[in-house]
Amino acid sequence: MIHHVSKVIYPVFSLTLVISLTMVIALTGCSRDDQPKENDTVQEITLMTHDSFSASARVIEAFEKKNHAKVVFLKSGDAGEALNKAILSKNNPLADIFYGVDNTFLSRALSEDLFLSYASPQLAHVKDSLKLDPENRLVPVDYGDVCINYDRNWFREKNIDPPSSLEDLLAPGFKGLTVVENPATSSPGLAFLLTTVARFGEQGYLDFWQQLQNNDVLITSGWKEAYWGKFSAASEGSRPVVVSYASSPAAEVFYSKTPMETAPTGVVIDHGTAFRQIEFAGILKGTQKLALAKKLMDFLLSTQFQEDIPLQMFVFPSNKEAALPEVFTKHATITDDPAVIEFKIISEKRDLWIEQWTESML
Amino acid sequence: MNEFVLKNIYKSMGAYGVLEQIDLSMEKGERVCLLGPSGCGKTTLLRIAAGLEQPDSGDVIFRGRSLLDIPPHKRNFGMMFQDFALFPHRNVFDNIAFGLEMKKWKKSEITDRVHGMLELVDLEGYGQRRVDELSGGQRQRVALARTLAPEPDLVMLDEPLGSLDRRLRERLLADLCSILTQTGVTTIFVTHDQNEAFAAADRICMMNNGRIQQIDTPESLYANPSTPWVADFLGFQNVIKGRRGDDGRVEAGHATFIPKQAMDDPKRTMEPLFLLLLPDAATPVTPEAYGLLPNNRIRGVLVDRFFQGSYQKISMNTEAHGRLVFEVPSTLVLPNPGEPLFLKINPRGLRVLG
Amino acid sequence: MDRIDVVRKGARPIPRLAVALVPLGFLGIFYFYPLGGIFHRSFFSGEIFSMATLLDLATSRRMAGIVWFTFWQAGISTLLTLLCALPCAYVMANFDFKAKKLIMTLATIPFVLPTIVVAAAFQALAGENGLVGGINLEHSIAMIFLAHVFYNFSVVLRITTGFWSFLRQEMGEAAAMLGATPGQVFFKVTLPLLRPAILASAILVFIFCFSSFGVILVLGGPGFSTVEVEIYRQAAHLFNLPGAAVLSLFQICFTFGMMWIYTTLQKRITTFIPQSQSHALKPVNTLKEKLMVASCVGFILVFCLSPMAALVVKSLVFDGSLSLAFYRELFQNTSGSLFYVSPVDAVENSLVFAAATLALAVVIGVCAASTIQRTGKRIGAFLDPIFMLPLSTSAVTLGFGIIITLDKPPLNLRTSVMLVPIAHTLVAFPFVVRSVLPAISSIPASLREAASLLGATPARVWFHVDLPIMARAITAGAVFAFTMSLGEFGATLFIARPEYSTMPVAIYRFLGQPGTMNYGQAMAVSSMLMLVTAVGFLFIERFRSFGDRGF
Repeated sequence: MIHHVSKVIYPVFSLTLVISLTMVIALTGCSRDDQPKENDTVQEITLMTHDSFSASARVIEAFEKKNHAKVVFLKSGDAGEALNKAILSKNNPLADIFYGVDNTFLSRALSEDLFLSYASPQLAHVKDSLKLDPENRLVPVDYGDVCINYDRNWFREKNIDPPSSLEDLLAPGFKGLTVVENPATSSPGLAFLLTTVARFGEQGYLDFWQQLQNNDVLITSGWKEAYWGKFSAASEGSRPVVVSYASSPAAEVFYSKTPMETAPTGVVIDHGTAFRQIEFAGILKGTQKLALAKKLMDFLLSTQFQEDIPLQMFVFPSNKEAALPEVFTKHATITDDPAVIEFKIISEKRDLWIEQWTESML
Repeated sequence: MNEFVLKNIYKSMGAYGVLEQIDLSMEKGERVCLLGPSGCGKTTLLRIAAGLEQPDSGDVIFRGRSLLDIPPHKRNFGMMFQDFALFPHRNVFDNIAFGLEMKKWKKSEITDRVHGMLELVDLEGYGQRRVDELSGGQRQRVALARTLAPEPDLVMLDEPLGSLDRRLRERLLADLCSILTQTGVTTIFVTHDQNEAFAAADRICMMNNGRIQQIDTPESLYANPSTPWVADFLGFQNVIKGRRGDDGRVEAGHATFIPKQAMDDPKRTMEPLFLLLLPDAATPVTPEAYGLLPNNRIRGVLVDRFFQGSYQKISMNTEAHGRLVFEVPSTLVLPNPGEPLFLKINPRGLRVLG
Repeated sequence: MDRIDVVRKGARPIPRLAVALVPLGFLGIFYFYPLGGIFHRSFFSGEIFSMATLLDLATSRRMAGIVWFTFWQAGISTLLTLLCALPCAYVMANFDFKAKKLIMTLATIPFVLPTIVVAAAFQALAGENGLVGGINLEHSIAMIFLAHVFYNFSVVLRITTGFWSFLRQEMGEAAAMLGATPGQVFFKVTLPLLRPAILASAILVFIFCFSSFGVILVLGGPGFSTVEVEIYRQAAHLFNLPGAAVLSLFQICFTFGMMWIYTTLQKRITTFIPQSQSHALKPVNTLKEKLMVASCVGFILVFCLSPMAALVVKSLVFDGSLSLAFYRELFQNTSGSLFYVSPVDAVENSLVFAAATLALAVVIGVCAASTIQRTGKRIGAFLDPIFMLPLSTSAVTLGFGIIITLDKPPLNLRTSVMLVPIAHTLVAFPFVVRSVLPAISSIPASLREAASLLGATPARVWFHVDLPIMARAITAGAVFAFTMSLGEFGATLFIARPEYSTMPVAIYRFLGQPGTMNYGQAMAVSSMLMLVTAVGFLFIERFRSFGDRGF
């Protein structure tokens, strides 16, 4: 019997062995592939970013064609993880360009001395209010507002006025209606925490949160859990108020198969109720391809790439000349009056505020 | 009143066929052995007696009461399984104590009883051993002690020596019998080995293909096997075909045999039957003497002979009955292999089979 | 005897050292080296060893709370999983009924589902607007328990069922003949005999729940934090690498300690060699038996199938009517994104990674189990826990470690695609080890000796004696390795090459932006993931000819 069984097993095991051997060979092969190939025609350039990054194939191809280059993308987790990985690999960088440091991480990124200063000629077209690093090590590439979103249908059906300020969320009528994200694990969550700090001051923000808690606020770990799990406009959840992006309604319209006149969600952005998230990109120190990296930076700031940003990542382009698509002009909003905290203060106090928040809320 | 009765049991055994028309009665203290080849249904019958399986029809009666509605753990029967089924997570002592614990005996009584049992099976001092440290023979004795400890009303042993080697079996069989005799418990014993059955049983119940072939004491079973199958199973080789003649004669080929045994129902002449020639029924005679015999004689060619101590085994080819094997005293001088051989058959060594 | 002629003279035996080097080398390079790197960097980063960080964490009351919570939620989750799975294992191991294999497969599928999808499924099923409705599913400890049981149910079910169907029936019958009621038979005989299997599955479930991450974050909400979640928080968001490292070290030491106790305990328990053939399964006859089977099947259907069915329904309902719109949409790159991966490619990527993981995990797992078996009690008892460590090591810590260590040729793997199956193998091969080890130990030495006396070289002995006997156990481990890989969403562990997106990565990408099409497509990919998993199981199980016995 043993002999009989081994007839079956032998080939299976041999196959397994062959596969693994092939893999070991492939493994050494792959590691060799990672070495820069000095091909005289096509030069490779690597862009490291977070998981939410996206771009049109068409747009990237245009750059590649023009510069005889191949852009390799590395996605490295959420914004925090990606930056962390860039910091850890500082001595032996993984990429030539990093895309996606936001203003809450800006100071940290700058103090790690990761980036080369490069004043792109394209910076002339970039909104001045977004430029935070005078040395241009990190330049703004996109921005968006984090704010309260609400389920329009829900409020219409219940015949209740939708919220228009942060204080509205504390009203008895809003008991059990709001869901927010944990600032310790979510970037919109942190943005909303910073909004409350800007709005109520360092002394008062915890009071606001305390009252929010008394009004049965629900805290989730991340945006996905809040939006897809609890927000009544997007899931089976029962909460019509959520912390999300001011551009979320535009995404709702864009990603609906049936044409929509008005977005199913509304936003609250006026009078300092929205926090502006600005994303930066920069050339990583240690790059072997500085010339090409500069060209890619120019390209990221150019209208061609910038006009692609809204429908790929649902944020606004930093280049003021970039035209917005219709769905953005109609359904996405941006406030003139965002909550403001200086980025240096953010990095200084960030951990403290999160800790205080955690202690009082969880 | 009979102690234990299996009444007209019928049970389908799936791929192994069916148990049919099983009737078996036992006296108190009697030791009955179910003997038959593997797959004949003897283990299934034992499991029905134990209550581990339910018959499709028929009844299991103990001391006048039907047991069909009584689950095995309430029957107070003991059963020793083929490979003993000792609990590997309990040591020897705890294995033997298991049944007593189930009966809620007091701790001190359990200790006394287990030590008594260990003494009975000659394993004093083995109480704290793990069962996987025991030899096959020791395991068998622990299993027996575990089965007997709770004083069951009926003990069932399923191939109790089956998994042991030959030499150990012979020694342990004697021990087993003496222990069973000491306790005097009514016992059903399953085996496929006739020597075990002969040595251990008061009565043997021969089974084949789900049916009982013959129930008898070992002596009369051996002396009077009732069917060709029984004779064959018991190792008898000389079964020949014949027809019933007049006056208790049996016609086989051109020969006539007149068994000593009285023929039943002399009217059914010409009915085909089988005749068993016991191995010690033959005596070699000279060709002249052979010619003078009117019947009860066989002639053939000697094929081989084997010296076996006090007797020799001879194997011969006959025209009428094929190959026959007999045992004759070693002192007799025989022809050489290949030469003709003439035999006189003792009528006492002839048995007519059904 | 014919084998003597077959033996090739001079065939070299597989040296023991070479066998041991496979798992040790793999762990050394892809586990200990990166971890060592991150610990070195955290504790000795240029300056002096910062005891301060360690003391900070040790004295923090919040940390004490987190550690305590991690322990007790894992303990309760494990108990609940056992409570739910053992009765079902009894039914599965003892009765013969239709569609049993299918039920078993259904029970294992949850293992591959991303937590965010499971959360959505629970919500769809039992939330305030769900199909069942009215149950308050908002963050609670109950949700954590529910999800842990949902995920780990099949681990206990598969392992225990496998073992149970090979328990010798006579053990129970012997007890019954000695006067034990069915209840006493179960508690005094069956349960003690099942203990190795129950312990093995319980320890795996405990380790899973102990290092639970997604379930805690997504279903438990921010009110709950385990050590694993805290490591992630410290490392990825607070940039407190030393803090994360200390916690990781704690986690590793704890797992090692627990595994050490487990392996030592395991040795003291009587080794019970099950019979080689599974016992005949009973047909379902009496009303009581019918009720038992029905309630087991019913439980699995309600508990495992209904959330999955809810997902499938969601993926098929568009605008209130039945439609394949979401599936069709998968094949279109609406926004012309560079990172679009067609569903065919996602399935292919997932399957290629899963197959590679399966192969690697089987080879490494079998070598590891052989090594434990051959090195004898003392070294084996040390190696066994070592091989289990990757199962409970924080992904983010290991991921960071890989970045700072595997950065030079010939091992410049930081951005290599190979890192995906390697990382999957790290968490998958412990399953193969757990599964194969008991099978190896049960091979009698006499069998090997008989083979070598017949002239077989050690290598041939291994192929003709050891391997066939382990075949069933290897298959059981392979199923888990395959499943681990299909379900693994390792974004935190390695740097992803977007062109090699797997199905779970695609699900996360769709859920990254608002819009009904995104949600629908995420549900569609989830449904595909479940289907691919089920088909994969059936395929793997075709290789196994003897039913399943694991661990």
